[in-house]
Amino acid sequence: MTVSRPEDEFFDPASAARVLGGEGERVRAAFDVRVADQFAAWGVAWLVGLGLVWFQVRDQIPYRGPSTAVIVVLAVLMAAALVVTVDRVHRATVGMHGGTARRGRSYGVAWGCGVVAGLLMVVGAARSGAPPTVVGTLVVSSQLLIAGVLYACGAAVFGGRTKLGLGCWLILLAVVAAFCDPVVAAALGALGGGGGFLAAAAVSVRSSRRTR
Amino acid sequence: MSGDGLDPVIHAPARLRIVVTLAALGEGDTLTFARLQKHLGLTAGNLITHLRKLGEAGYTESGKAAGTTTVRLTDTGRAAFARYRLSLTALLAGQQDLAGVESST
Repeated sequence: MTVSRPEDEFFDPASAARVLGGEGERVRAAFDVRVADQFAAWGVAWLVGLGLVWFQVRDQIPYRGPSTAVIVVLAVLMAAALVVTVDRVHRATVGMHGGTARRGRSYGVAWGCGVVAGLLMVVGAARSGAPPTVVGTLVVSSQLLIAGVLYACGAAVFGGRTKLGLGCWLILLAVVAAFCDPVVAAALGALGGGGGFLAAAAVSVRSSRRTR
Repeated sequence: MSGDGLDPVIHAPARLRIVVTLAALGEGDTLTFARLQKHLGLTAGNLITHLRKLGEAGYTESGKAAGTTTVRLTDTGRAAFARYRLSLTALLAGQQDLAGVESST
């Protein structure tokens, strides 16, 4: 004869089903990297940051580029978005080990290397004598391309149609921006890039509500 | 098996929560004991007791990563959880059918 434990006595199947459902929800929330938050932060950074750049340079003749103050604001916004990203990923994945965690770390390293390399390439072009108009277009176009390729690759590794759609959109914007002057490139980055991120955030929120 | 046909190793509130949590990880992924304890809100002693029971059945495995204790659901554990879910669904469906018959007679 088996002796039932007090905790098992009242654990009927209906209660088990409730635990399954409830705990399943809690776990999904706990391990969720909350891409919507990340997309929203990057959307604001691109929209407001590059929007400020556009606002400052839109009437420049000849084109000189944004002031140091505007560049600092852009950098602070991007840094804030990075903090949000790191925070959401850390909260979800702290304590995890194994293949998923390794892939996540590799992805993070790829982002860091890609963004920094892209900026250094633009610095290199400027130092080689590229005119401000080329530098202005190149910095927007290259960062759009890097972000686009990394999101598309991220979709391949981690899944996510929203990520793939955003990645392809940013790649398309990068190509279009490359053929534009720096003022138009900044507008494309702000509206197309920032808008793309915000749209991806909205789609992610809707998708997560549907799966609940 | 319990009287309901449900796996008694899994069919306990705390152990079910443990299995649900570990099943959410990717195959081969592990979770530190500390993270698991914090997520579930169990005392360390309580969690150890339940993990021991699950481990004795071969459903979980402990290890070490970066100097900390980690836990994962084994392939046996995943299969057992899948069977548990199927059994629970079938049991609840059967109870609902029975309730429907009784209320109509």
